[in-house]
Amino acid sequence: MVKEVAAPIDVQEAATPRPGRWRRGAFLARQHPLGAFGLLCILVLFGAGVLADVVAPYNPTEESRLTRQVGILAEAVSADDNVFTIDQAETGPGSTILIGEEKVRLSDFIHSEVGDTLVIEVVRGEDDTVAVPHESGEGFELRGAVDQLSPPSLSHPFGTDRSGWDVLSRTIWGARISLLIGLVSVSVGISLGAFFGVLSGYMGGIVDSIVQRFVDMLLAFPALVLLLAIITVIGDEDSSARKAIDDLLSPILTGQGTFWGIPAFVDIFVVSIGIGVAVAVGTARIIRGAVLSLKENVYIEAARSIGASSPRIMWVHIFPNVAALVVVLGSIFLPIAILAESAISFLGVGVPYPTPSWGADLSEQNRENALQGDWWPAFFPGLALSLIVLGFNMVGDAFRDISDPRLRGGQGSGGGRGGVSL
Amino acid sequence: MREYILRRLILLPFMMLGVSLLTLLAFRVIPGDVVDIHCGFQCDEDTKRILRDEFGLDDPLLPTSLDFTDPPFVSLHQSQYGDWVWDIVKPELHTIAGPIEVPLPKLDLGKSFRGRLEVTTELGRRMPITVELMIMTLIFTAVLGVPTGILSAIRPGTIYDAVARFSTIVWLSVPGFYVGTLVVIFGSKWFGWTPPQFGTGYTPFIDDPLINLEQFMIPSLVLALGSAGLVMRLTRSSMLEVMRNDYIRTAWSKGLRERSVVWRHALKNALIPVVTVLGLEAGGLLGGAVLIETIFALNGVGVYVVQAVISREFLVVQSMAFLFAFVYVLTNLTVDVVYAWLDPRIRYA
Repeated sequence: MVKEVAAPIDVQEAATPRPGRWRRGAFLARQHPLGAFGLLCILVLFGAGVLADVVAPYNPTEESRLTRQVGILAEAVSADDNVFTIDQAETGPGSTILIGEEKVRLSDFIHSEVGDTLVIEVVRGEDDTVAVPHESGEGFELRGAVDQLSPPSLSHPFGTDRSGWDVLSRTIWGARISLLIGLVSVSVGISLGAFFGVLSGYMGGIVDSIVQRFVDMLLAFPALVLLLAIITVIGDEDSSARKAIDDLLSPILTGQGTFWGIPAFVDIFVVSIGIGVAVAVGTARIIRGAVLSLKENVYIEAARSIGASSPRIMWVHIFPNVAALVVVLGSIFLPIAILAESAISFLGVGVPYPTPSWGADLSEQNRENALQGDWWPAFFPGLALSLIVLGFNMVGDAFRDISDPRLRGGQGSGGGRGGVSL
Repeated sequence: MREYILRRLILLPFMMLGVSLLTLLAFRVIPGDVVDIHCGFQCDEDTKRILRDEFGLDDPLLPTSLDFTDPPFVSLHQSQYGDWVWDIVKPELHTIAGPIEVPLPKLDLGKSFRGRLEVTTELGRRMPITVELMIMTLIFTAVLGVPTGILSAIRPGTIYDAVARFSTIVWLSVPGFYVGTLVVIFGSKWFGWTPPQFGTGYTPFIDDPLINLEQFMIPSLVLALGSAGLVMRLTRSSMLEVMRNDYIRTAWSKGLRERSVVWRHALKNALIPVVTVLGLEAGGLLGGAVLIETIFALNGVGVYVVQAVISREFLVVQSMAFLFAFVYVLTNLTVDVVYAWLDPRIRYA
């Protein structure tokens, strides 16, 4: 037998005067631990994205190099000696050697191999003198080969990928790209969507029909295919849309199209616009529905009767009333936009290589490496992506619970995943 | 109701034409001839001219004049778009069962520039794969989503409810293409398992049900997780809503057993929105299928359309848009009809 138990009234909450903001926050966090966890995910990941140039330990597109011992000095070397004899040499030269603590560039060495013994002769340049004498038996390290696909370690907590790029740094920079694309595309999308939604809902008649049939046609495409098509069309090197975007963005771009440390920003902006259009399609429908009921209000009729023009009514009387809905839609579409970016980058159309992107890092090459056992380059960026979406859904759930206590625990129409199934 | 269905069905061809025309126009806005893109510097002017002629790229995009008096409608299809539509609807005699010949539309969707593959043939080859993926995904969605949702709703606040709600929010949030990637990676790492599709091609269900199911089991399960999460939450909320109704209280006070209250009185009403969402998800799943097909190397429609968009095979994309519109309108119509059938209060004007 199911018992309907009334939600216990929190006596403490009722008895004490309204607690301070922090106390109240802490109380809510205890009540909704999942929501708090979600908020934490969002703050940590986006925080890392904003501070990427400070937090990331390496440059995300700079090869990390390997330092490891490849042999032992067979004979003592004095400071002005030119010839090193190395026992048990494993590999040939890369670009730098370390003898003890001292670095000498290996490109300046001539080497010959005799069995296990590597004999190298220094061609002295200005900087690469061997300053200190070295004992025989000292470790001889070869530094230089690109540190490809090294598993997670202390120096690379998330390992390195096939190009020797630090996966942790790429994940952090990926957060910045995701954040940027999410914000740009959602602002573009909800503005466009609100504009056409209000226009279509308020004007009705032929305007409504045209806008809605157009929306219908765009909705007929699977969201992902629509996105790909938009990006292909407006992203083409020669298209006029691309040129317009180039002109629009040129004031904020610095050397080689970099913006906020992200190279090839125009490509990323094109992706955002594409996602924005897809978001607008969904938004326009919903806003139109809201406007349809709004415009039946008496105050709209009053405004019309004192001679207010249609643009004025739409801007002054209709728009402020749907603004809250627009903001809510924006927060629902943000994780969807981030997901969409990852999905198309995953297919190789979105963010261009080698700009770090969570989706692109899940793509083919990394998956092939993963099949051979090197799982980390694909694992961590995907984890970050999952956590951010999870974070948004959990916060959304908690928010719904808080704003509507009647619904005891996440019962909305389903965690804010809207129309995009990925 | 009948009128409503009829109206939507009349709209269908216009929608299909509109969507494909929109695709054509969008892709032709991109500067640079298709021949230039696909042939580039390797072709001289003569070759390019021959190619343009072969694909009818010299013709205007849209019919310039309409003259219906001309019997084979030459004026109508002497344009790229008109010609393409004409090849689809042109009646052609098909032999059905021996001597009986019936005129049916030719359904020729044209051919791709690269490889000159007939779009219709390609679709015939790839469609079964995607359709089977969709069907199995929908089954998994319903099987995973509905019972968990019901259980969660009739035992609210229990540990089971908490676990189910937590796990569904995870299913819902973790993107399918990431789950798929993890399955492929760790499947091979820990269990030495690789998706069977990697080795052999697609095996139809009739040929060998076992191998076929082996091929589709994991991909559709992965694809189903997200929508199952959605369906579970929806079932739960709608069930909780229904359980608050007066007629449920009446059923309880009559002394009915829980099983009877839940199954006979609550479930039927609670499932109405769930069915709607299942139907709508069926359309939306196609987007997810694109990614899952890529990961599991299933050569389905999703992979096909993505490759076509990327390599600007606008004829293929246009044909696919034509098809998508068909699927979209029909799914929505089906959902509407099922909705009205489940809930007799709903009337479509």
